[in-house]
Amino acid sequence: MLVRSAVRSALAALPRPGPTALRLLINAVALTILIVLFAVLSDKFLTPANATNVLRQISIVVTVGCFFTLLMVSGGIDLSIGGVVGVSGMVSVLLVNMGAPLPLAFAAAVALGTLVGAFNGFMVSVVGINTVIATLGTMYVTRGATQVLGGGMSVRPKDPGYAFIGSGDIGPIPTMVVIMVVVLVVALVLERRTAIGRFAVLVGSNPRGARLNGLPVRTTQALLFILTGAAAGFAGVMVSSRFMAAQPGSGTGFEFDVLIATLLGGTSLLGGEGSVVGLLLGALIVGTVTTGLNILGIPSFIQTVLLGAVLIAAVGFDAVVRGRRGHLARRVAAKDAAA
Amino acid sequence: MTPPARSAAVASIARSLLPTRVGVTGQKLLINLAILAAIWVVLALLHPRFLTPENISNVSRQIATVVVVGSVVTLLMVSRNFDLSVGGVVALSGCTAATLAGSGWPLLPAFVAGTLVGTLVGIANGFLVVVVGINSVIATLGTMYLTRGSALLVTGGVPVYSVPEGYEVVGAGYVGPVPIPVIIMLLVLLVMTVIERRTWLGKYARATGSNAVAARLAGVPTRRVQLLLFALAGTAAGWGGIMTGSRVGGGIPTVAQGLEFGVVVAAVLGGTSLAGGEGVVVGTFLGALLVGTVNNGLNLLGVPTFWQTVALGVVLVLAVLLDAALRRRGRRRGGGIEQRADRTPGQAAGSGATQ
Repeated sequence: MLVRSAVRSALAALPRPGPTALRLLINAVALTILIVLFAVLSDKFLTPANATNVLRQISIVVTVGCFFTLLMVSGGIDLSIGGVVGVSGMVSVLLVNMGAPLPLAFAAAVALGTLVGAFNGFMVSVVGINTVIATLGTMYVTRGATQVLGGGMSVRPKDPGYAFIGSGDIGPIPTMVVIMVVVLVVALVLERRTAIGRFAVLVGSNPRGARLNGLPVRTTQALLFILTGAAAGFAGVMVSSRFMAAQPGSGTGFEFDVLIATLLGGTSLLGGEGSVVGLLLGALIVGTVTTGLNILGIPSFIQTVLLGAVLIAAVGFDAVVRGRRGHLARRVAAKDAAA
Repeated sequence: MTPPARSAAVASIARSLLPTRVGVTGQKLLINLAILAAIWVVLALLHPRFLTPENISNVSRQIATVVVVGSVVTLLMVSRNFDLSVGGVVALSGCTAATLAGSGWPLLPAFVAGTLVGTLVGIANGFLVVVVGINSVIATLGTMYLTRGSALLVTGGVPVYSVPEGYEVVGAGYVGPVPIPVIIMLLVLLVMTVIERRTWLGKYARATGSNAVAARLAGVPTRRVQLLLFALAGTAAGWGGIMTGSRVGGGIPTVAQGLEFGVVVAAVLGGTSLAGGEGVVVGTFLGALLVGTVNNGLNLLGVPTFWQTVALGVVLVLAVLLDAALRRRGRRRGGGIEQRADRTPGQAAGSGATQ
């Protein structure tokens, strides 16, 4: 009796899940179902080797996606990340081949990404250009620059030590996964324990209100653009190290991969809503589905179709949940108007 | 009638005769024309082959698909929606038509079937956005993957080249000296301009895009308007797939990659606002012509393709910077939304009636 009432009061004390929390919950359940499903279908799925494989696969998307999510929460979108991945990887490989030490080459890649991010932030937050178009422009510029720098060809790093980031291990854990975890922790602290995280939500949900309340609207958004660019710059190192080559087309479509993981994680395209944990769940779902389908031997174009269907299902669900609330709000407004 | 009243009446008549939309969009169009003219002059001086009839027909043939799809997508964007699935639809409809024609269907039914596939995808997009309520960027991103994957499914991942004789007429044929795709492009441009300026659909698209709630309260069937525009955009993309497939001589599942960006770039260069409510079909044509001219000129001058990508990015960034500067100036002059609202044709007609 006592136990039951204690459970009941504990349940009552739990926060009622809003749309974002509900989304996280549903994503966690969906992920569990997917894992069980694939584990039943193939005995090769639920192995440590494959788990490591999934984590390594999503590490690049998550590394950039963490900051990309915060940027989207603040109302911005960065489509240039794929181009930045290409050009920064190319720059870092070229520098290594010219004899630069590895840390310097990596730092240069991150610096280049930071620079592009700063330019994006300038165009969007200071000049006021639409974020999709501005970053579409830098996407073309960076994508073209990758090909100009490499002469349209793939460039291989001459230093075998370059492979450490992409294929090396720290203890039993792949370096890529360690990097992902470090970035996740940094982003989580930024989101939950700093003013930037709080400002991002306020700026994204109501830019005008945020400005009128004296919040640094431009600085917040520009800073998130810079962080996203820097992360994309480092992701360029990760990709080129993974393949031991800077390819002219590297990072093509990367912006969509990140966007899909972010949206699956419950981040709103309109800004003001979203979470880093959600992004991780979204990336895990995509990684699990693609790896599972690969193990089952499903051809890649059917995977493309399924990915599209998953995306539509996820956002459809989102729209229905939000729509119900919107519907209520409309009814209240109509009643007010009638009165 | 007292003199001041008469002069006011004269002024209002004069105002109504002037082009009604020399707002930001009109300035943008004029600037685009000037830029185009400047580029043409420079290229004509730099390269003797630029201003030849062959090259001009070459440029127009290259932009035909973008313009055919873009003219419809412009109206869709004016209604504040995007369609990112057009590239996938072009691939899917082209592959469908080529597969059907290759398996013995006569050409016309195969072409119609391909186009109808586009219409179906368009209706699905409209359903997802208007009925389910998904953001159009995401919904059509999903159908982009679906259609692209389906194009690979239809053809089994390999291009279909076994098409009957005559398949190439639509995309590569000529009527006299004029390429058929160019004729189609001009026809679509004309039809869409008439729809934009002279029918309820154009007016309602603008109303829906500027302020959907106000439009609905004013009796505009905003949902039906958007559904229809999505279906039209899908149809145009389906037909674009026939044109592209016909030009390359079959169905290629990876064709038209990035067409959705090409279309958006042309529209935005032409002054279409990403926030809806603003944009003209002719502007998209000018935007596509600008991109096509730059690419063609760089090709003629022997500039490697990857520099062309950089150039395209720079042109796009410059165009939007210019756009932002124009808008800012408009605001500083005390313009902005309120002043533009004064200039709408509907209000001008209303004030004329009261006098």
